[in-house]
Amino acid sequence: MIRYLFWSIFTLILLFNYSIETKILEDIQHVSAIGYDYVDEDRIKGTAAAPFYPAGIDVQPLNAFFTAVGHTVLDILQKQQMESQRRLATGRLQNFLISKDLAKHGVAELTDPLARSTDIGRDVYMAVVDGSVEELLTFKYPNAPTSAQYLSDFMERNLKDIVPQPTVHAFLDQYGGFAQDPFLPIIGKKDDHIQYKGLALFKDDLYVGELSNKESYVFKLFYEKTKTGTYEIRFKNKKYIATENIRSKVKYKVSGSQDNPRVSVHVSVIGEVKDASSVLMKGNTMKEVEQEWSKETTKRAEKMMRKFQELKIDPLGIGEKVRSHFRNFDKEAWKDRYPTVPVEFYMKVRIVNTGITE
Amino acid sequence: MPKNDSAFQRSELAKLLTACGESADFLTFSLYENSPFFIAYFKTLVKPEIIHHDILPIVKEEFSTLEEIKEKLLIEDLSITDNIPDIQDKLMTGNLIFYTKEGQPACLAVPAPAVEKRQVATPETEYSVVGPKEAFVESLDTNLNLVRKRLPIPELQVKELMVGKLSKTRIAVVYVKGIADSDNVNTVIQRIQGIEYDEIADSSFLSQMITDNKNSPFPQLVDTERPDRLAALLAEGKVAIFSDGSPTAISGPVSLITFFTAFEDYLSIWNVASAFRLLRLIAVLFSVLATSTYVAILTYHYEMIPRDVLSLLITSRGSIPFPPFLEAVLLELAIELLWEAGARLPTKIGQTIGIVGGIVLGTAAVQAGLTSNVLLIVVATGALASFTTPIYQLSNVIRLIRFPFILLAQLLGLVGVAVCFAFLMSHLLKLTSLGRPFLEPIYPLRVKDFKDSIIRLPFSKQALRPLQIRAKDRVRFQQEAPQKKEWDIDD
Repeated sequence: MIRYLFWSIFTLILLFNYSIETKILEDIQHVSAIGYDYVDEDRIKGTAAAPFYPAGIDVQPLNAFFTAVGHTVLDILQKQQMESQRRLATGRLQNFLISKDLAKHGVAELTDPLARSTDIGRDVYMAVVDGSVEELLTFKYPNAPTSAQYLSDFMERNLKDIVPQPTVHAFLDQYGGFAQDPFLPIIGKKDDHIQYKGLALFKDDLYVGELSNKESYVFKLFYEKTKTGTYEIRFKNKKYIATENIRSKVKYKVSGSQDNPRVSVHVSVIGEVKDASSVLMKGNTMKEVEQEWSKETTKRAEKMMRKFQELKIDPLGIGEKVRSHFRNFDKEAWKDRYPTVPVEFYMKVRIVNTGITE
Repeated sequence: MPKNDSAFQRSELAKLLTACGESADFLTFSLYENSPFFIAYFKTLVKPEIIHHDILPIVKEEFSTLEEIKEKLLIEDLSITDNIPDIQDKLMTGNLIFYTKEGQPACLAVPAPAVEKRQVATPETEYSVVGPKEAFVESLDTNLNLVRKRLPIPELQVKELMVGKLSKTRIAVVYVKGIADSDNVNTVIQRIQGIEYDEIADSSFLSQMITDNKNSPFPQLVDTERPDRLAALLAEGKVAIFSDGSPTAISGPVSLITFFTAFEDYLSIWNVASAFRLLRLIAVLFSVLATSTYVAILTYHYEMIPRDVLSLLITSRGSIPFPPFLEAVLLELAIELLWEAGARLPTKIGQTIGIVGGIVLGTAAVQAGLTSNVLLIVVATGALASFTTPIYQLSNVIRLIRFPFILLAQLLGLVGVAVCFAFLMSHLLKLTSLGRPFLEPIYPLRVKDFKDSIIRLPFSKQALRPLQIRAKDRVRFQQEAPQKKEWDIDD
């Protein structure tokens, strides 16, 4: 009996003495988006959007922003904390923005705290902002209750289909991985909307160039399996046809020796014709459209690849594929060899649908 | 006055009659003037029709011995005895006794019992939409009759025992000989014989007295009021226990899954039945974990809340003055109050309570800003989910074990929920039912027994009895090899 009593009291003491800090949902202010601007050589300006939710049913959240200048991410967060009405918590962070100026000076310092933190989710989206981050975040957009909500919707529901997974963890993976260079979407403010502008290319953690938004569709097509994308094809007699990708697959083939590797990229697309008002669809026209589509896209891909090789960056991850093909892969030698490796693009198109009227 | 009257006064029989005579409903009189025979009975225990039609008209004649009366009476089961405890039992079970004050104090006992019993009615707690609509009543003999009708074989054996110093309750242990494991039968009989108690009111008394772990909130013997269900359990090789005066029979050994089994499962197609059985299991899991998970996530793990739910939760919680834990406990207690009040009141008032409590109180609590709509939905769904268990005893347990979960969720967050769940599982693993593992077929893993556990396969796949019961005869029926059908062009 005494033993029983001892153990139950012991357990109770253990349980009730051990108090973890509670983080009650409505008592904290959730930072939804966070962005950084370049100030000078060693200072940055951070802007946090932490919408405030008033109590009640059917109420709209209020915009709330906190801006501070500091040396490190946490230094800035501490300064922002001094202004907010509740404790700022980054567990529900959804967007992480970096201005283009800052990206040219390197982003590793900023992403490092995110990589270490345990309360950062896997679905934090990351983008480079063309212009001022503060302006983009604090603007009152007419089409959403808060700018943070607009940005979240924009990144999660829209951009996800255009750009290959623009999340912080994907970026960190590409940055930390051996033979791939990271890329991020570029967004900017256009009048009173947020606009996707293209793909920022990084060498290590430095911004070195960009792809236009049209090229980024091609990039996604040759980078991973896709189910989206509309393409415009210039047909005979300067007529235009709009086609849409139903689904596509990509395969990398490596051949040759380690000293002289050859890479070929094969994409197969199943697509449909969406808009061909000026072209009559009959007989061999379909075959010609398929050929034209494939020819134009591979031409663009080759141009894109030349750009990558000139910049000595590898966002497609070709090095990774080559490495997995050869035993005793020589990393240093590959870095020197990369700009001269021949990469061929092949595209197989099958149009399965031309609409209901034919 | 006969001269040996005083000798009679000293006899044991006279003492018994005097003791009985202190009750107002005890009658004793002589047949006619100067008759050597007297009649004694409790008028509340006998049926007057039998006395007036079958006994008194016959015994009006003059007899000289008890044997002569015995021969004349056209009633079965008459006995002449001088054993005083026997005579007492006969008197108490609705017999008339004829006795004489001369010579040996022997008595003739004539059974004329008045049996008050309820008509066989429809099941109340284990109601099913389709299938048989009989339920057990308070009379042991009627109940046994209901079971025998369904299993008309001599192998269905009934062992009768008497328990209770005051109530002298008749207990019947029923099993099918040759199928039920004799270990199980002996265990049950031994444990019932070992019971020391004065008054057994219901079979649930027995259930508590003979279970393996008397401190566990989980029932380890299944109780049913359906003769069809009980017959199925007996045919499976289980042992059933009836108690006179109780409209439920208990049966064992069982596993936890038995408590999720409604007899209706066997009345519908196997795939439909399996789907609903799975639904019940998920509902119970939800009922146990929903509120505690809500408390844990809102108190510690706000990171887990999806973006679209976040604003919904924050705005609905914003004006509430309590932390999630207090809010949840208050609402759970309110639901428990409603439940308890509803159970104690007659059906008609109970409905009013449901409306007052559920609709008025719920709406008012939300409008006053005491609870959030989200929690109200979670708690109400949890309560609803716990009603899905076919056996009432289990839903009581589910009501109870929610609270430790909520407490640990407040103390340790989701880790606490996991810890509590681990405790619950280890407790269930330790439990046995008549010495057989309670969590079978999950642990010990018996893949073959899954055919009738969390899912129910068609009857053609149920050729073997479950391993848990250790039935003597494992084969239920010989399965014929399926005939090979010739393919025909006309098909």
